Amino acid sequence: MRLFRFLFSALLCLALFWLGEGHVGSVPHIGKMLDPVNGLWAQHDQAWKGNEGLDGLSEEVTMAVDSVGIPHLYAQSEADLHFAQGYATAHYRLFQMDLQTRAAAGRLSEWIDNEEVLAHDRLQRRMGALVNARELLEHAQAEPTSARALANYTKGVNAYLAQLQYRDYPMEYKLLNVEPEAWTPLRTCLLLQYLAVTLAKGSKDTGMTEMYRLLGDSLFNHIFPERLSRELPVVTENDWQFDPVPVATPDSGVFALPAAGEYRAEPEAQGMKGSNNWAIAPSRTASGNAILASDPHLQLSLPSIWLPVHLSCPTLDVAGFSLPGCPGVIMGWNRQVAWALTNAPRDAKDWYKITFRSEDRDEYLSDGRWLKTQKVPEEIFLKDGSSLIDTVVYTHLGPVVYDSRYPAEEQLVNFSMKWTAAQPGNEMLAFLLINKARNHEDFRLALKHFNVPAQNAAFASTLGNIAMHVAGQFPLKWPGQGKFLMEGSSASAEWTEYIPRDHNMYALNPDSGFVASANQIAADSTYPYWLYYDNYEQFRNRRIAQRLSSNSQWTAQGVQQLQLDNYSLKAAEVLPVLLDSASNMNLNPGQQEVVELLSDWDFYFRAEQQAPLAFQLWWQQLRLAVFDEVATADGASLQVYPSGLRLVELINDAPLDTLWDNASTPTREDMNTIIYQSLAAAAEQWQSLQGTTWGQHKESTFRHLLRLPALSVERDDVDGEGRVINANTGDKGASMRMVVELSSPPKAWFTLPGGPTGNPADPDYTRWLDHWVQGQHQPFAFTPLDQLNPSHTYRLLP
Amino acid sequence: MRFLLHMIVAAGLVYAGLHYMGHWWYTLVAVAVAALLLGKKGSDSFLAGLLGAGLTWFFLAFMIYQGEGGLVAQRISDLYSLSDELLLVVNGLVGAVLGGFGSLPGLHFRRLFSGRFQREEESVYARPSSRSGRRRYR
Repeated sequence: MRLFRFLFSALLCLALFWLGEGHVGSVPHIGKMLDPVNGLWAQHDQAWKGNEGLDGLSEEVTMAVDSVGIPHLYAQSEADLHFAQGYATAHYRLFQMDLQTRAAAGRLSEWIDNEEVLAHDRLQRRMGALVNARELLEHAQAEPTSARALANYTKGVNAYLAQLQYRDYPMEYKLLNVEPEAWTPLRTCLLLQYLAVTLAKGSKDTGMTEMYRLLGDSLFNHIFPERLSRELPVVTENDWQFDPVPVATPDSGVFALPAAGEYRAEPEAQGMKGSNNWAIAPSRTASGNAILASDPHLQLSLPSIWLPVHLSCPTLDVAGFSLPGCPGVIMGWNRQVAWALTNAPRDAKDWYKITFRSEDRDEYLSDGRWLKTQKVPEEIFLKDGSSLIDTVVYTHLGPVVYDSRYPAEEQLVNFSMKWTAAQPGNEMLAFLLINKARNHEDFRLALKHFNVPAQNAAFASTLGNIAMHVAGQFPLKWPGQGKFLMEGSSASAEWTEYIPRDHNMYALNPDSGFVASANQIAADSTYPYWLYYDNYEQFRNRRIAQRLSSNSQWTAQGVQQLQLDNYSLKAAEVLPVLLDSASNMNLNPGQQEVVELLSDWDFYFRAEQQAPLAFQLWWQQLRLAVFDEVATADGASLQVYPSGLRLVELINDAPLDTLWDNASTPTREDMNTIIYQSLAAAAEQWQSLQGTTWGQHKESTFRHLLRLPALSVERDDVDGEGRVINANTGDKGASMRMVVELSSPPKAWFTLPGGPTGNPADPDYTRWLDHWVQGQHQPFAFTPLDQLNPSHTYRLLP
Repeated sequence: MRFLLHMIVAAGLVYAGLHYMGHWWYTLVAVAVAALLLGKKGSDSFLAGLLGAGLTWFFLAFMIYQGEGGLVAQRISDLYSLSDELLLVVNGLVGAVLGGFGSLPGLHFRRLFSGRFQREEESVYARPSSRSGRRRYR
């Protein structure tokens, strides 16, 4: 009896243990998480764990946190510096690094049991993320500079992991009940590859093909012209000093136009991701120093994408914004130069329809011959320990991403993906060389290692030089190549060469006194190669140029204000015409209210105002009405709309165009009728949104990486819109803002939508968020240790 | 007196177990050891472990909440959709459940080797007592 009681009570405790550890069904591991010493409560004290005896460090490194909260690392060698950067980054952002590289490798399912996550993992595998990251690693390991930095950074991260106890784990590991994993150089490459994927994957080839098939050649080209009359390229000079490589355009049989229902839309059509950067020459600044500015628009996540950092040793002194998981600084400045990047969009990803000989997909057709495929089994482990294998078929064009197994059985056509991200250069080396660049020539040479994602690289130096380089590897294409789904069995559909790097456009000290980019087209139509993208920016770039050329006494403070500019060129270009048209109409009170509201509006997208929302509603209705051919195209499974500038053109320059007619009515509508109809529709929507401000409507979300509302922040007081300089759409926006004045040494200011740490239980998690929302740049110190006046100092000892 | 001692020892061992062994389930071990050393009556042991561990789990969290950890409490309570106060109560309850049931194997192990068997040491899960003599502990 006594034995029974003992055994029974012991079993009961074992059950409690099992339950508290989270081994029972979907019951959370409540005991483990609520443990007041080691569980989630421990997050209140995740102090720096500087230690002695760090394996891989050769001399002491000091980490000083300045009064703003930015970490500064002072070491005696570059090796120690990159080691310390790895260590410090792990301290601040371990979970982010771990999660993002897992996401890149398609290994999230090991942590999260969710259909959407599994689909993500499969897509990453199918796009060949790991294959590409391995190639990048091979290139990085082949160069001593990048190989050393990777090795030292990796040692630093792992030295941090080695002294980590469960109690010290970032909160998210405890929530997911998982363990951190050792860092490897491959994970850094996965991260860089993921960045390339994020920035280079945007393409609407599927939607464009569908539109082309349904609208026909002439209407398609009328709605979607490749060039627009008001566009302003990145590089405005057009004195091309090279002999272009000839490109032959094939006659026919290169496009694949599958019938409706044979394929599904490409699932990853992108939203607004863009960026601004510009550099102002000394001739246009009050101080006579060049000024450089940058604000990359990315997902507004928490923790933030960037970790600001200052890295200093006798041979290197660089500061700016680092990517957690990657050694060095991605955008920033050193003692001589400053640089910043924006995405340089061009159609970098194409789809080729593959004809297999049989169901087993061992052979595929290419110019009348059957070639062998390569099959790579991808094993995806799930949270419960089981695994599933998704075999990816490779052709010489690339992996077959979409087939009847993915994304769904309705996908009847096999598509191989061919894109630039599959040919990485040594981007790691490019960044490390730029970190040490002393002048424009160093910068230019460093960019030669940069293949993907193609970037507009702005440059400014203390000597007063400014430059903009379109950097990266671009496929050599005949006009139209890759615009639509391509026929994989025809070799002439395929691109194999790249535009010689020296033929990429750049501007060095242009007469205008500034360089600027905002994801617009790179050059005008005199550029000897075909330039194409389906979603070029057409408004931010022109507004920046207008503002920069309007002033010749720019100050750093003025440039900071320019980054916050909410003026909508789009509204300014169409509203006068719309309001003029409306003034001759018989309006009901609701419509009259919208018109009056907009008549008093100054075209600035401020969060607390209602007019921007009214404009946005009207614009959307107008777009639907003008491009009704798109919306009513029979059988279109997805609708693609042309750039907003096409509509601006039609309103201002083509009031009699046939597009104004609503194709589905027997009568012929003119511009005024369509304007009235769109106003009426917008006014009706407006009534239901009465009293809503632009900021409330937009609702800016700073979402935690695990999308947990409890760890995320929502704000309704964020100014801006996707097409204004202060480009904030809600879940995407300025992932940081940086302004550098190239005095000697340079001075810098920044804002960032988050904070240094990824620990949600630390007030520093959102330390800089208010400054970001209110547009108050803070100083980014760039001084030796003895002048820094830090609020905390920590030591790393060998 | 013995009850109070048992409770304090249980609380101390839970505190030490969590801090020095670094796992939540040392709460189970700690109260079992306390009951092994000091357990006498079943219900007393259960209650001493329950209060010792429960109060430790409650007060450790409460100290963090009162101190610099207001934000951590807010994050955790948001995650579970609780109020901060309710979170602290839940925290104490989880500790209490572990403490109460965790004591029993310790006590019963002790009894395996003790010769005497007293009427008072009846199993708590057999009959929750309502006798007036026990009430002061509730």
